[in-house]
Amino acid sequence: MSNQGRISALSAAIMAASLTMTGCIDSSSSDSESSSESSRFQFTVTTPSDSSLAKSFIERSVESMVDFIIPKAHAALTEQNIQIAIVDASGKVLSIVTPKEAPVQEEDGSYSIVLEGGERLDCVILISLDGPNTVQVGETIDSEKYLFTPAVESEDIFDIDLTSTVAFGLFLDEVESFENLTPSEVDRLIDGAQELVEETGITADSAEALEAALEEGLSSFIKTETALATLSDETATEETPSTGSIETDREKIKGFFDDVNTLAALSNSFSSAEDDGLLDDLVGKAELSQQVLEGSEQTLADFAELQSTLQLELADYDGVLGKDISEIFANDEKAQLTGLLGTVVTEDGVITSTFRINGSYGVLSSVNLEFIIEVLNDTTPVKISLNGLLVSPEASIEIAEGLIEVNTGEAIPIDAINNDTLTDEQAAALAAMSVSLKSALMISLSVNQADETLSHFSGQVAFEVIRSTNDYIEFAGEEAQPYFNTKNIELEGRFSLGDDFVSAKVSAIQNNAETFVPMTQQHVDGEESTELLSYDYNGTDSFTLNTPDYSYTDTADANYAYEVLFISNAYNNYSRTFNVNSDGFDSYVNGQNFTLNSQYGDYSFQGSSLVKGTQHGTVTANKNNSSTDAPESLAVNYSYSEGTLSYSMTYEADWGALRGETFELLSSEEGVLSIKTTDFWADPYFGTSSVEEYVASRDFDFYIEEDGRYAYYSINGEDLSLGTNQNVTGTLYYANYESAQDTYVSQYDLTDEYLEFNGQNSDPRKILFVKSEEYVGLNVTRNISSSFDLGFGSNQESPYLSYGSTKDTFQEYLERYSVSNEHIRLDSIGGVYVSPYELTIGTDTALTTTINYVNSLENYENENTYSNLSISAEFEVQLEALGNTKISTQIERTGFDDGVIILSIENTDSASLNSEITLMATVNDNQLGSLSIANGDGFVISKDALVDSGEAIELTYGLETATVEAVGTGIKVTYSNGEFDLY
Amino acid sequence: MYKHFKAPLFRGFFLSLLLPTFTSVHGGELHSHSPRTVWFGISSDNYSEAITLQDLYEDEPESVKKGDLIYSFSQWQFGYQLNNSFGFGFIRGLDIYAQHSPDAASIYYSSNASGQDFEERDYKYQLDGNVQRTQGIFLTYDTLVGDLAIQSMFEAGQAFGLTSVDINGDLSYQDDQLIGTADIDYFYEKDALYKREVDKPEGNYWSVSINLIYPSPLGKHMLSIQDLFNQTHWHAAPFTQVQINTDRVATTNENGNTVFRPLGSGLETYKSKTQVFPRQIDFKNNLDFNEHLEFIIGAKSIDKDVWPYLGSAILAEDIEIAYHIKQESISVSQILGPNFRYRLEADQLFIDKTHRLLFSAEISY
Repeated sequence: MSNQGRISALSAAIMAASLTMTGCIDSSSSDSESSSESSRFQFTVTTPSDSSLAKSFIERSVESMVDFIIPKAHAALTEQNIQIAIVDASGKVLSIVTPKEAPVQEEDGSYSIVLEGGERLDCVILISLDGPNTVQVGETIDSEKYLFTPAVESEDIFDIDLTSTVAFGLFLDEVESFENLTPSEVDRLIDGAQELVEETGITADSAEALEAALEEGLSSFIKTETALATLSDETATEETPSTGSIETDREKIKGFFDDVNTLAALSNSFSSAEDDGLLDDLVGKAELSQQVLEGSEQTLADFAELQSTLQLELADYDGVLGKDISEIFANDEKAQLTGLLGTVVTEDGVITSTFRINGSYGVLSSVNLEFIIEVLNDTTPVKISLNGLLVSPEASIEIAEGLIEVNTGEAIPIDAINNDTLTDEQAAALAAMSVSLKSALMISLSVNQADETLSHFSGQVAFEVIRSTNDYIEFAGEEAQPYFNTKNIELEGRFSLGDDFVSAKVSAIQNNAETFVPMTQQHVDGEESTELLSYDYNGTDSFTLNTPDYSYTDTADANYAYEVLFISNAYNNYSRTFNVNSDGFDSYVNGQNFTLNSQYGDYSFQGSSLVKGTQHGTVTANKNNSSTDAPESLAVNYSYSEGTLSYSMTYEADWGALRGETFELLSSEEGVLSIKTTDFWADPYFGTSSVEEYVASRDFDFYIEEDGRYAYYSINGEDLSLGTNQNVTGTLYYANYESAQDTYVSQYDLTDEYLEFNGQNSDPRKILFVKSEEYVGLNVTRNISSSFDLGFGSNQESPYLSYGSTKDTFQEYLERYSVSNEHIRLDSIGGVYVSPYELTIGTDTALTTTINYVNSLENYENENTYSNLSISAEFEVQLEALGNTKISTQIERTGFDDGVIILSIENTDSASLNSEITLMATVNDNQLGSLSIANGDGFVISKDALVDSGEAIELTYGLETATVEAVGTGIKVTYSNGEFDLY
Repeated sequence: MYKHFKAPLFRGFFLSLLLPTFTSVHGGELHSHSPRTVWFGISSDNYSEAITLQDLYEDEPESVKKGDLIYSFSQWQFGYQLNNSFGFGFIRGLDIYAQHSPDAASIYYSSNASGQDFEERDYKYQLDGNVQRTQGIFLTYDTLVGDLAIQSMFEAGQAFGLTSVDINGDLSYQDDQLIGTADIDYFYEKDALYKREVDKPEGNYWSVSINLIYPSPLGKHMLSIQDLFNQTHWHAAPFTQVQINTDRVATTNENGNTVFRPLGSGLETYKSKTQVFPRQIDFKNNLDFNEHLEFIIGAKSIDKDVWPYLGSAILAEDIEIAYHIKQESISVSQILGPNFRYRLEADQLFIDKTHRLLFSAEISY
């Protein structure tokens, strides 16, 4: 029956039926237990019609009005529409269940049915919407014919709808059996799916499209929740046991929360500062394994590659006796191996070769391996026993009892190979043949640094590498290569680092190892394109650059209030005193030809052009260089008063640096002037135009020197105030001699023009405040959205703006700093050169790019191509606070950004924890989904129940019921006798 | 820890203390009345040493001073003087009295004032506060023993709005955390700590107040003792007792491993509670200066606190003005004709700065 047929058959949106079931017993099963109890299930059935299919606004409005005036009429289900079936995990009907009481319609339009037995997740209520329900044993339940849901519902009234049907169908796709699964878990899964659909409001134009949309929308959720249900043992039971004493039952509940509290105390979020060490202890020890593996990363990588290479090369081994390894193994820059092969052929054709390999491979500076190779038959061509020692600068690996077994999916045509009569078909089949490599070995791995052993692992490693059914093309245009994935790896042993140790058992499975190959880099060197980069520019205040990896938007504020202080620090000004014969200071100035250097070259002006008594005046300096680009003249700012002269000129307009000089008449005696002059180079400092603010916001330093001994002191700028001949205490931060004083009092002057430190045995340190400026200019904020390698999300930053560009328009800023003529690195492509372009107003304006190198994407993932991993790890550590503790983790990746994490913590030798604590979390679309903490006594506390609901929940253990509620500071647990604990 | 203390102990508690003060109407002091006189009086007597009254009311302190006392005694009464000896009437009141350590006020200020940080130091947190609302009937009896005029008042009735809290804590602020221990005994009508749903407690109260007035050659001497004897008894009052310790490490077990404890443990129950409010004593001497003027010297006392005052009375205007030395407040009271009297006292002209605020008025016919 088509979906359209289902809709027409029951066009009313909701049918309600209430089923009363005393569980569900497979009536065909001879060993079914009969039960006198019965359970009543009440449900509504919603067809994929009105509420889910997209309608026009007018249609919805009319429908809403009709619904308001005329109560919904429930279409009648008859007994013939409803069947109860027991199904297996593939959805195949194993038997039909006869209800204890036939379905009846209640007054509210719902239906009820009574079944014998308890809840069963394999007991499915099937609703046929298009006539009598004729489901047969052996038939696979099909959403095209039925709406269904398992009889696991704990609510008074539950829904049977397309969502429950799709959700249960997806659930069946995910499981191979119902073992380790409970009705309540499946109930939560279907309820969660229905809530998700309600929240997201999935609609479609047709029933077929709706079903497809539901499958797409629910797929990730069902995968994740099913993985959680499969991985976790059901800890929450509706009927908890009792110790027979309310006090002891109370202690059981309290024990659970005390354990949660203990774990909370071990985490930073709830612990006081004193407890931080405990967490550090746990984390530090748990990271031992990572340190060992990372420390030997390249060694292990080369060892794995050596095995793989040997395996591939040995495929060419022709069984000839007494061969030198060089005859079957091609050494190259990486491989420098020598060895001799001794071979014995038994009567049944098994070739046993002893192969001793010495030399080096990659970082393995010393390879000393002994292979005993048995060439067995045409599907297990090679079985290798392995012992040896590998040494690299970073690590050494000692291998014992190693066993590597190579298997092929089909028989290798050995005779044809040996006889050189391989046909094209045989060659093609050989090239596409599936190959797997199983390895198990005892391994002792030491990580070294400077000939010292830092960390160590000893234990057993077993792994299986298989050839993917898809060959891998790393770069477009290259030949496809066989690609091998590690299907599973198991590691068991003991990591140690100094006195610390961790016993670990790690198991990782790549679920898609049989088919996985990394992404192919489709772009090629030299590729010119207008598809990769584009920009949006509104001509006023917004510019967006779009790339395949990220986009950023620059937003301009043309009215940003800038405060700038031009500062010449102690390293950029130089003072000297000189004597000159002159009638006076003014005569000296009038007689001088002053020269200043700029980015264009030298410029000069006459001292006679200066007007005495001028403050912040301007004089023109003429070009005194041969540069053709140089302007003919530049403006020089100056101040000239009795006995002092200072002038400055912009050295470089973009950066804003000033160059200048000051003159100060120190004395005048008998026609000889003593003049102090200071050259300075001042850079702009943004943030304040106030000397006091600038000084208070930073530290300063000076040093004293005596007989080659130096002591450096730091001065807090907040300790300085305006005035001359003041004292400030500096704090020692470095000295090259031990007897240096911890503090040193320096004399200082702080004025609006300069800050100078003076002290005994110290050179003066002088900072000049040359100019302050406040103006309204351009400010640009950049918002970056990344999607490829930096993770999701965005962050804001202020892009670089020079002094000059703060005075530009936004367009001038973009032209100054645009990507035109730039080289951009994109992780998903490689290096991209952007051709020059004229900035134009518009959206999605294409840029011309040329790729000058491409990246391999072997280590990158996206939603379509990712390594689907399941990891289980068990660590046993000795923690100072908890004693010997076993920590188990299970991680199941169910999608690109979906997964399940389960963490169990168990004390094995102390009473610090009352019971094993398990934390379970799901992640959907990179967001935390469910989160719960359970223990071995059957208690579960979930984030959703406690935090999201905001209401108190009751938790019963035997005779005691505790009320658990979130209070402002955490969780409050109140027992029936009024006692409570705060966590 | 900081949040734990802030939420229930400060914002919630202080707010519960102050809110009723400004939302109730209250009545007056003990005065003598002519026979067959009907009177209506209101009064509200408020003082907070550390935090201004408005800051407490708005729960946004802008300043804190050294201090350890908060009180608010407010009532309204409607009475009838039957003859020269007896009067009776109806009375409603609100009584708040809390003593706290200066550190408690500092913590309240630091945790509620915007942009205010805690000082990194140890804090001694103590708070002993009582709140009740009452309504009942009163009987007054006036008599003369020689020259000594005695006015007495007995009132009794129902009590509501119970809050009685006793907190002792040793806290310190380290690394942006308020840590330490605290013991809390808390009776309540509304649970500001954990929002426990409870049945409203009802109580019964009685109180005796007296005025003694003695004329001497020097002038007139008055001793007023409100709530000379008083008691409020609550049956089955909601009660929470809790001990908080932010150090979760409880002990080391026999294996040498750490045993952690909850952040706090306590008991929620119902139990009887008797509240006794402190006597409010006012000893005032109007000393004759001349036929127009009297000097006033006196002192007010509640529990261990004594507040002296000095002033003068202008007899022609029936007005008294006094300066209250420790509270730095000025009071004005005046009798306007035979039917109206009022009294005002404040330490600041601007309401947002006041720590001390009293007003009372009575109209009679």
